[in-house]
Amino acid sequence: MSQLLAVDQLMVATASGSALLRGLSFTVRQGQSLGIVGEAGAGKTVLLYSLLGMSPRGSVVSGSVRYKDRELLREADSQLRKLRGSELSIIAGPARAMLNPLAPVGNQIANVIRAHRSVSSAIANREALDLISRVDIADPAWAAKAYPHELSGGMAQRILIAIALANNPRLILADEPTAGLDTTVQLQVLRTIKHLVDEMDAGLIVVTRDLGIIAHFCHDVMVMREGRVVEQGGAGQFFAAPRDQYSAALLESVNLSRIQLSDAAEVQVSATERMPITLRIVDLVKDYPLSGGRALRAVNGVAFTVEAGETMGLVGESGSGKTTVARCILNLTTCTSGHIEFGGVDLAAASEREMNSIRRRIQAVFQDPQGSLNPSMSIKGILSELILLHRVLPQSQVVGRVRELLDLVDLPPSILGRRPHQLSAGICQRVAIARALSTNPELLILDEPTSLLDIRVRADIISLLQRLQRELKLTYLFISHDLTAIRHIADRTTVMYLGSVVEDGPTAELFTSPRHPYTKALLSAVLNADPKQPFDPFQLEGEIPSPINAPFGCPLQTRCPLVRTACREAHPPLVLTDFAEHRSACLFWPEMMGAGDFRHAEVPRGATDEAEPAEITTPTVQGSVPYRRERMND
Amino acid sequence: MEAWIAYVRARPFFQAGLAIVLVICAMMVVGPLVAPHNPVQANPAVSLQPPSPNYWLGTDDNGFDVLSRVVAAPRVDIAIALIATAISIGVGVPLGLWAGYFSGRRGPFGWLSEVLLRSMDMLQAFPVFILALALVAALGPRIQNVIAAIAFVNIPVFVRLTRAETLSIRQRPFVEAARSGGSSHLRIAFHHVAPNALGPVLVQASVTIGWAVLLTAGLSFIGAGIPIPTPEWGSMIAIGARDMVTGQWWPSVFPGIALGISVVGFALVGDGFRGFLDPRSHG
Amino acid sequence: MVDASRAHDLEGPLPLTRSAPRSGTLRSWFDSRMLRYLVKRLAFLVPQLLGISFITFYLIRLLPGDPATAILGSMATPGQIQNLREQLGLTQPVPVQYWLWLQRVLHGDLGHSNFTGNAVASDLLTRLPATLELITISTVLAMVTMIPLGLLLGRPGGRWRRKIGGSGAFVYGLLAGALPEFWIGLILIFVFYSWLGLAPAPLGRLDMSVVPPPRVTGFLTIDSVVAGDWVALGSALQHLILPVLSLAFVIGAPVLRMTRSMVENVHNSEYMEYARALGLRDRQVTRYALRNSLPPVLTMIGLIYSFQLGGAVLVEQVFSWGGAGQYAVQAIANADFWPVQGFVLIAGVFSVLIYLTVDLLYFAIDPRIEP
Repeated sequence: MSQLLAVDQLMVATASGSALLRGLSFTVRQGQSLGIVGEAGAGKTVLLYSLLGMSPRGSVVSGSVRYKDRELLREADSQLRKLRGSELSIIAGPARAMLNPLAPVGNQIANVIRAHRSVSSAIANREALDLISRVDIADPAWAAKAYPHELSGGMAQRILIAIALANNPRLILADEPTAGLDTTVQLQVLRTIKHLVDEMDAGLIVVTRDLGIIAHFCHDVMVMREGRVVEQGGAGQFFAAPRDQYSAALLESVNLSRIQLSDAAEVQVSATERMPITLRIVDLVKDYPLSGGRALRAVNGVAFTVEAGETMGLVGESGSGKTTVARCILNLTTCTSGHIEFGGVDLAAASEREMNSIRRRIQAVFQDPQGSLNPSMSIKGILSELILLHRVLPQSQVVGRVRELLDLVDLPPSILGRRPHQLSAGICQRVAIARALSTNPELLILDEPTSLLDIRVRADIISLLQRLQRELKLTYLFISHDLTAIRHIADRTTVMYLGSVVEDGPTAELFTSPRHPYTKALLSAVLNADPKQPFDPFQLEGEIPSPINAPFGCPLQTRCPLVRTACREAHPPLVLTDFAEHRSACLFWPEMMGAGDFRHAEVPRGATDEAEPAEITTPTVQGSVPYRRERMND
Repeated sequence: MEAWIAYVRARPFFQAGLAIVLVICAMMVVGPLVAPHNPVQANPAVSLQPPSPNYWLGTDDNGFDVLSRVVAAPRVDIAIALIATAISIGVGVPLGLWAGYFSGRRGPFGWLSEVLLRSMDMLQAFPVFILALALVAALGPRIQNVIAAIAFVNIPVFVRLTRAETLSIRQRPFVEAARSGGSSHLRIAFHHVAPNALGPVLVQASVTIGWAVLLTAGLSFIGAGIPIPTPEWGSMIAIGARDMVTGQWWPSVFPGIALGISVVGFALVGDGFRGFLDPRSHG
Repeated sequence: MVDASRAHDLEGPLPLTRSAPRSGTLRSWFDSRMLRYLVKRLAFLVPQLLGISFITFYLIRLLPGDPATAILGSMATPGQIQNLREQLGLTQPVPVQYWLWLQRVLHGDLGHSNFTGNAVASDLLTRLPATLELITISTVLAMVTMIPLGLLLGRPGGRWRRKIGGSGAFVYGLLAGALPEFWIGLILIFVFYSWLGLAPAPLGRLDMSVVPPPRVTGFLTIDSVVAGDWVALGSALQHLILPVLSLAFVIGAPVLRMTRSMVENVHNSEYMEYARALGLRDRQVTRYALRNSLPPVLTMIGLIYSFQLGGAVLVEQVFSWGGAGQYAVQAIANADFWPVQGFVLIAGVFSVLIYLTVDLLYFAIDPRIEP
């Protein structure tokens, strides 16, 4: 394999002198893929653009970047322009932000073609159409005329891939190519990229914050931190035994391996003593009316219960309705039908006094750490607000309580006078948690509390949440799309898709033995930071349909490989499976049993079990009689 | 607070603006008292004299001392501008907050906020100056009518601005967080939304004060504003207009310069506020 | 690899908009987004115009004392006053008064001017072209000079160009926003007429000695070209220079500032960076930048165009222009009510029509807007 790119001591500093890249060196060969990982601010994006000769305006660049025989740093911009978009092409994310909003995407692809080769626009358009179908977009003709805002995230990303491939690239640079995409879509897109890169025998550099992507798609890995290379080498060796302390910490944080699995993670065998039910959702339906008399059904008859002291994980991708459920519980929006009971009180029928008490007992932590704090208030004000509002304590005791709260979340009292924009995201999220605790709640709704946080901070927050739960006997409803976090913190999990619950049950069981095709697909799409994780090819086709066009019957019918006529006739009910308390909404759940169960989900790191063949061997089951088998002590 | 001081210190333009505004406001208070000659008493014997040691800025057609009138005019011009802007804010901001908070919601409040918005649209369809002109023409050229007219035509600006800010703030996570924490709508509007919406209002206030001064001058120039002999920059320019054509430039030029400097001062102050609010400009 | 039998993947993207067929047939145009928006927008026009007219009508109610006396002036006979009172329906409730007034307006009756003795409608019709000519030419001048300048200054690179240009634009913006156009007009007269003797006297649109061309549009420039009267054209242009400059100087600043900031924003946007990273030529990138900066600039120009009517009133006064603005000023000085009201109505209607045009253009350019 010939060497494509050789970078030697690349240094980039801003005009004012602060260093962005401090002497990076690495090589990329033809047909090889290099994964560059690091947290925010590590300089990964600066690196990619500097390779193209587009370092930030006014910056000072030194070192060497050799592409084939050419020293790129010494070439004129006009020469480099000819390389960009042809031999060296780049894919970035999020896709829709990278496309010109005022031009149809087909034209944009054609423009890139014509920028590098003198062909007529007719030929360029035809090639564009061809590229669009090569990246697996159904109905390329429609897509070519579409504007970026009309495309879904996954489709837009594929368009970017098409653009990158337009002129037969030798080296592809991918900057967070799956930013903002749903888990299942992410896998599809990555496989598309990999497949096409292999086809063309090109080199690939993937920049990401997701170690899982690197584990499964890259030969080599390079860890960056604050502009420096911390470690580099083969991926297999890196994941097995990282040499550097920082990389080891990253790996641990991603896998949450230094955090104990929550106490109740073991499979609940038989019914143990029941805790009093804290939250009960019954037949919740939420419709958003649309013009023309139709309605968008965001939540379609969801039911589950959360018991005191446990953590219920709520999992789903975009359009699943999980956030809407949370908003109904918090009374941020009224549900169309169904009811929510908390501590035995029906929230819709509660009296004013009962509601006041309930508001105190249910609190929430949201996704955007800084956004959820009022920028014009000091931390002291933010933490005192709810105490005073709900009259939890008399005025004189508020300050003391505020200090206690800070202590609970491991923050120093010195931040009391600060404002949110002066603090980091991790600290802000701790403040948000402290605020939620200020009214001594019983139930905490956590809506994607870690998805905007950096790798190591994420782990810290999750371990903090676990500690708080133990110390304060809290109940959590943990909503997330991050399955690793769910695996660690949730005792039981409910999986939602397009507004319906498709599966629920004890987390460990769910993860090792999913009984619904969607759960299985979701789990197999999760890329653990472990190259030896067996790759289960259980994939769903296509993309998540819009909730406006939710199909009648089973919501997964448009994408499920097991779909049959029965699936389209009626909405499948949740039925018990072969495990006690583990329910599935798939009419053919028994086909999920057996060889397809995941072993790796038990212990994420150092998995040594061999993968079992993923074929489904149990015979089809007609009708919908639930097949129940007491499964004790398995 | 320290951030504010550091900010001001780093920006000479802002300092200049603040200085100008301070001087102008001082003139508003003491202007007529420090004027060398009586601003409202004409001395026909010395009419149309070029600048001289006795009359630093010369005299106009009627024999008024230009300097005295230039210095006395802020008491009218600036006071009108400040009062009118204060009224506009006092009426426009609460309306805007209300409209923004209830916009899009069902029920009577939502509907009313739509009506309000449409009315503001109608008002803003007229060129500002012409609307003010119409109001003063109908009501009569007296100082309180000028204030009322200027206040009225600037209300839509504040309504829209506050509404837009409220709408965008309303969607920010901390408002949702406050709702889920149990705060009532009213509390959220005042405690959470308003403090964050006020920044742009402050910026707009400086700009509006500048516009108000120009409006007053324009109205007075065509005789639909402050009647002569009250010293006012616009009417002074009108008085001197004929003389400009014949080459006596001083009666019109100096009031214009004074006008320009005042508006520039307010504009620089507004600019400075805007830069402070924009998080990107923090060092 | 993903299965080829993707019959169910027709849902595809989140259908945020119902995109209309995009082919070029006539049928599709009728179906199209544009037509729907047009209809919606035009339907909205009627209440807008009604609202404008109501506000204008309400001015009568603001007149101190008895409106009829105020309108007819001190020379009126009691009979005339009584007549007008009945006509206006002053004893009736407000909506009825409005209706009476509206009916007359829709029939073209905007009242009579005490001063000129003519119907206000015909007075305005005669004088309006002068005003329109003035503001149109100054808007065009501002656009033609400031938009290219804004494009130049907004482009990345060229540190010195941008620094000097930036400071220049800043100073210009400050001055143009602070100095009233009527004062600038006077200064220009002083410099170019009184002192340098280059410009003609500020006494209207043509030299005293020049005969105006036969009236086709009312625009002296157009009419003289149509008539082939180069002398008149020359004189008209000479007289236009100073007033146009006074207006254009003031409105040029926001045009410059907005164009520059829009271009800067577009150039700094992610998709621009990305386009450059894909090797698109500078020329292409600039074309993208232009098209994407256009919508807000367009809106602003619409705003400015109607805003200028106010400025025109002042400038016409300075230059004795004889347009609708000066007519209104005269009416105010003479306590002549109907012309003022007529002018205000025309100004309002004019603005509404301009905003409609701008909205339609904006909609045509930006595909993201919903009809």
